[in-house]
Parts: sequence; C-alpha cells; structure tokens
Amino acid sequence: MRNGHSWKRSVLWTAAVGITVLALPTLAAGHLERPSYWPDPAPDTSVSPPAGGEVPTARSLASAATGAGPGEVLVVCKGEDGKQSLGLLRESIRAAKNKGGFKLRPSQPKIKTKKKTYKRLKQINKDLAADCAYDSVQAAVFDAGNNDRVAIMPGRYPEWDSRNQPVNDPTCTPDLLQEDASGDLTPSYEYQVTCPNDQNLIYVQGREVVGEPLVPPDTDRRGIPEQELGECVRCNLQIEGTGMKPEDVILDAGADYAGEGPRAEPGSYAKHVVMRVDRADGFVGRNFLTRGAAEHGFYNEEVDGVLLDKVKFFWTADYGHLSFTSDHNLIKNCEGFGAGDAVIYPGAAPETGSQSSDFYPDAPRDNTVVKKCDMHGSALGYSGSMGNAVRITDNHIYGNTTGISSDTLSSAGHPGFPADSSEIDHNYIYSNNLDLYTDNPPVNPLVGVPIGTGVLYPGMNDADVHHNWIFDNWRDGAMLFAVPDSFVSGGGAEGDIFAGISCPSAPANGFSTSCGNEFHHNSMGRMPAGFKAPGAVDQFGNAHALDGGGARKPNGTDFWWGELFDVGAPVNNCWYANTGADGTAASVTGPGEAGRIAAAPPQVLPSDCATSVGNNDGPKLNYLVECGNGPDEDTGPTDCDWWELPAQPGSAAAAEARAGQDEAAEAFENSPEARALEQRVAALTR
Amino acid sequence: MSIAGSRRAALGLVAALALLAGCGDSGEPGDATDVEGVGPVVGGSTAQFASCRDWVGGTEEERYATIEDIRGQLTPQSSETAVSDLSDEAAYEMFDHTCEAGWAASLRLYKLYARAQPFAPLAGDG
Repeated sequence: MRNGHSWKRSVLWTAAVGITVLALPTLAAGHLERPSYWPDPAPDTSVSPPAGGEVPTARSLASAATGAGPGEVLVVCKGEDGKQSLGLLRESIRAAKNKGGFKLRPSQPKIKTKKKTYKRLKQINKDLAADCAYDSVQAAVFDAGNNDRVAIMPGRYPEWDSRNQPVNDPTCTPDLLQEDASGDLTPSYEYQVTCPNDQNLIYVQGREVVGEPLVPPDTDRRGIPEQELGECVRCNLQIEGTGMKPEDVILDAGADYAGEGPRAEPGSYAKHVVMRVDRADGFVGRNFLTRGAAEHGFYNEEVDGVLLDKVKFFWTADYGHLSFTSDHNLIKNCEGFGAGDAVIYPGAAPETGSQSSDFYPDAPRDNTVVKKCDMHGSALGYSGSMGNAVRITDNHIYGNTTGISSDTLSSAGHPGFPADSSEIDHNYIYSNNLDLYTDNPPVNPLVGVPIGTGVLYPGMNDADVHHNWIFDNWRDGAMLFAVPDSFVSGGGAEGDIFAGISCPSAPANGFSTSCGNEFHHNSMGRMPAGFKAPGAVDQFGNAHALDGGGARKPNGTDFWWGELFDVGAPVNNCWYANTGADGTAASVTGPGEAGRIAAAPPQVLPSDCATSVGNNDGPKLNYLVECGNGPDEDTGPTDCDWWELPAQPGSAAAAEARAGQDEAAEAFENSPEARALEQRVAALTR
Repeated sequence: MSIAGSRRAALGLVAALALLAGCGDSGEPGDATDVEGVGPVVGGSTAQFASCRDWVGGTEEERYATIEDIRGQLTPQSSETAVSDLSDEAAYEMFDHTCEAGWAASLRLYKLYARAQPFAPLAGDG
C-alpha cells in the first residue's frame, strides 16, 4: 500500500495527512538534554585570539613539538617516557609501509606517505615524549586552560579514574539536577562541571559556572542566558592524537571486548559519553578514535566554533557524534559505524537558514558542515532533529538501515522549529539496506527506521538535495513527508518560532513543514562509472547489488513524496533535472500522479517549484498510519513493511510486491476502513 | 542551585485539570508513586535509557512509572504541563505490543513514545 493512488481532496483528508505524518516511527528521535541555547555567534574577544565566530583553524602537530604558542602543550602518553606510545607509533608506521599506506576512510584510496613524513612524525613524537607529564587525557584536560593543547600519543586510553567515578554521584544528584517548566529533571551545566566524570569519560568544561539556570527556560533560545554565562576557561582548546592515523589513539569507554583491534565490539560500556565538550568555544579535535559508549562517542553542546578533523566514532549505543545547539561547526574526514541511532547527529542547529534573524547578521549561512565522511553500519548514517542549515556534502553513506534522516518530529528539547535549509549535495548514498530488526542484530537498534532508504525528511523546509548519486537503496531513494505542528512532541515547538517559514499561512494554520524542498540534478538508481564500493558495504551482512551487473542499480522507488498536504496554495516542493537508472530523466521513478495540478497532465513528480501543490492521498495516509503503529510483526497487504528488507529492485519478488501494494491501495480507497479513518479524522478536526 | 520540587504544588493542579480533560495524565515525575521506572536511573530519570528489554522485565507499577517519566521528558521544556494525547494506558499497550518481538529488545522506549504520541489522535486510542 505504499505507492498510493489519487484520492478525492477534502479538508478532512488534509488534516488526516497531517495526523498521519505524526505517526511516523521514531526516525531521528533526538535525545534528552537540559534546556539548551544557541551560543552568541560573534567571537568572544575576552580571550586572545578570540574564540568562536568561525570554524577554528587547527594548529599543526609540528608546532606542538616546538612549543610555539599561544597556549601550553600538555602531552599524554603511554609507558615510562612515552616508550609504549613510541613503540605503537613504530608499529603503525611499519604496517602502513608494508601495506602500501593506510585508509582514512573505507571508501577512499590508501594514503601513501613519504619516508620523510614518517621520519618527521617519529621525531615529533620523540620530542613530545620528552615533555610527557600525563597518562590520562582527562587529567591533562583538567590542567588545560584557554588556548592550550592536549597532545595524545598513541595508545588506548581507558581513563580508569574517570571510570571509577560514580554515576548519579550524590555530590550532584539530586541537588544539581535542573528542572524544566513542567518539573522534569535533567543534569544542569553545573552538574557536568561539578561531576565531570559521572556521565563522561572525558569532560571539557569551556566556561565558568556563574549562576543558576533559568527556571523555566527562556523561550528565546538565542544566546546562553547572561546569568549563567561564565568566562572562558578552556576556549580555543585543541585535543589531538599524535599518531599516523585516528586509530592510533583510542579514547575508550567500552569494556568486555570481543576480539582485538580498533574495530572490536565492546560487550559493555563504562560511561555514557566518551568525550563531552561543553560551552568550549573554538574547540579543535583531531586524529583520534572514540569508541564504546552507552550514549555518544563525541558530544558538543552550546559551543561556538568546533572543528573535528580525522576523528572516528566506533560502537556507540546511541550516536557516534552528537552536536547540539552549536554553531560554526565542521566535521570532516571522519568515519563511524556501529551506532544504534546515527553515526553523525547535529541536532537543534541554529536558525541560520530560512528563519534567521538579526542575531545572525551574516545569515543565511550554513552553521554546520559534514564533509568527506564515511557513515555506515548503523541504524542511521546521519540524523538530526531540527537540523537547520546543515550541509552534508561529499560523503559516502552506505550500509545503514536508513542513510539520512532529518526531521521536525522530535521538537521537545530541540529549539529551532521547524527544521529548514538542509542541503545534501555531492554525496554517494547507496545500499542502505541493513536489516537490524532481527534476533541478535549485529548492532542493537535504538530506533525504528525504514530498511532500504537513502534520504528521509519527515518535516523539512527549503531543503536542497542536489548532485548526489543515490542508488541501490531497495525501498526508496528519497522520502519526504509533512509534519503538522500540533502533533509534534505533544505540544509543538520548543521555544520561539521565528519568521520565515516557507509554508503558506504557517505557522498560523498549523502546517509548517514540507514546503520549498527541491531535489535536482541527482543521479538516481545508477552507479557512477568506475565506482569501487568499499568492502565495508558488506559489513554486518548488509544486502546490496553492487557486485557486477553494470551501472544500473535501481532504488525501490527513486522519490517517495507523501503529497501532504493540500493547503490551497503551492507548497513548492519540486523535482527536476534528475536522471534515473537508465541515465535518462524518463527513467526516474516516483509516486505516479503525485503533485498533479488540476487540469494539468499527470506527471511522476511536480517539476515546477512555483506551482507545486500537494495531493492528499488516502492510501499513503493509511500506509503511514500503519507504519506509525510499528515496529511490529504484522505482514498483511495493508501493514507497514518498513521492518523488512524489501526485495531487490528489478526482481520478480519486487514486482510482485509492488503489484500487491497497488492492489491494496486501490482496495483501500473504497473500503470501510477508509471511511472509518476519515470519520476519525473528522471527529478530531471539528 | 534550587531545583527539584519547587513547582510541585502548581503542577498538581495542572495535573488534575489534565486528568479531568481526559488527556494523558499529569506529568509530574514521581508524584503519583514512589516506584521508579524500568531501566537505569540517570540524572533523575529512567527515560533516557529504558528499553524494550527493561520493559519486558518490569512490573506493572514500574511500567506506569516509566510512562509518566517519559511523558514528562517529551513535553517541550518551556511547557508548564506534561499532558499528552497518548493516554498512559494506550502507551502501555503500545509498549507491550512493540516489545513483544524479540528483535525489539534494544529499542529505546522514549523514542517509541515520541512516535506513538502523535499517532494517538488518529488511532483513537488516546
């Protein structure tokens, strides 16, 4: 029942569509956190050089060895005088030499390094070892101040002192728990500062604690409230591994490993977060691996200015990387797998897109960029609730259950309603067919997402999805739905809603999402010439059709649009200049009559952005309602099929499934169930 | 820092009104019962980590305590009430239904709730 047919338009169905979209499974369900604010985007000039205001620039490793300022260099190492670290570095270099280099990302060619570079790296490490004063990263961070650097020499850092700190430390619980307006509790900033290793293996406190949080929180989340905004104590901090590659320095909150090596799976977790960076503007993290956490590998909150370069995120129960209410944020040259939710998650990103205000004088602009990363082997490669103005570019996203999801569903705790201005461009999004909904899954999923999906937008405005290669996703290449306001997180937006929502009459009419999205110049269902799939696409038994068979690698459907909703005016979603599995525009697959304008000829998808309107589609509504009722094990013709691996596109089984869905959709249109659904909607909208 | 418990009296009134309106209960964590929810308590709440596995192993009282906790956490932080269109009874049934499948063991309850809450008005089980 997933393709749908045209259905009579009515006000009731307009509302029904709205309600249905709410029913979508968890998708990117965000996380629970203290009331959080977007930091002032201007540089903080109380420190020199100023902190924030832009993505920070990393200082070279060589300059750490020379001691060139600003700031001090605190060296962390393994073994007496760093001998163990130096030995590990030699092993890493030897392995690279023997194998003709090393891979920073599975999708990329090996990096071959000149002998001179190896020699130089060894010398830098020898020089640093002479200054080594710590065997704990956290100890070094505690001693660090503004502009300082923590250089971590090769080794695995389990941080025993941190591990030994109690969770729910009575020093902080309950006195430093913070209430929201309805009395629910979360750890405050002061909690994290006072008990830094209660939840975190490594905690970076960026600013002093100066006052109590506002209770209730300010609805205007632009700027951390002055009463609790302290001076910088660790702004412009740089933490970096000194090895040849990220895996040489492992920041490890896992335990009970099955196997050896950096990719080994932990059997349990010692802490919730491997490294948490809190209000530390101008932070640089480089060249290390975070591994094994009950929540997240790397987590930054309320930070202006973050650069993560050559950082990896392996085996985290929730998110590999999580950034929250942070600006001037760049994540690049990264890899992650084994996340129960998403590998990368920039949530509650600042309103620097369509809804920007004078708080961001240089807007519209991206506030977060994710580039040159491999996100694979997880429930989601990327997700972000209220992922405003985030650009995802030049990445490989493969072998996940769903590749990308950015939504407006989870508004509670996530300022920035509704999500807008996502840009997804020049990525390779393929073979996201990982079935985690089985007994003993290789990665424990925390969320229910549709198996076989490339891109998923449950509530997004003004997205620009262009120049991507999206292929071999066995359900859908890209899906788009609307999310009516009143049903989001049991009460709507978190904090103020700013002007600039693209939907007609929004937010007054209660329909604020799924408008102004453009999908163009994408190559759908086709593998680029000369493409070599990374071996990791096979990880965890992920199904794909990349081996042999030419360039044609169809998605189940290239574009699936909910066609929601008809508000009596154009919603401006459009698809144009895309090509399908045959390399032609004609071979793009979509939802049949979607977007048909009255008296206009049928088209696969509306291509005219100015005139595109929603068609309310009853069978699709019903389908989404069913999906909202899952995950479950029902497998009837009208049941949601998101929890099962779709048949390989082009196969007889896929054709049979499609025919069954079409038949079910047609039957539904005239069924008593359809009338009952309509009546429920009518009752709700009186 | 002042903190937990400062608004309880006012919230009690709000809760009572919500119940009269037939919505999903009050929204004051811990006020209905001293029983803790299923799963580990972290930062004063079980909402973050409670999973289907925990649900299956919980008592009825613990399960309702979990729902109350999650409902509160999933209300916008600036909202003074913690009511939901999804009744606690409907949430209970939903968790029971979803967690029945063996493969659902790791699913986080709050993420399931976030999905089911908006579904409630249409499903007619709120």
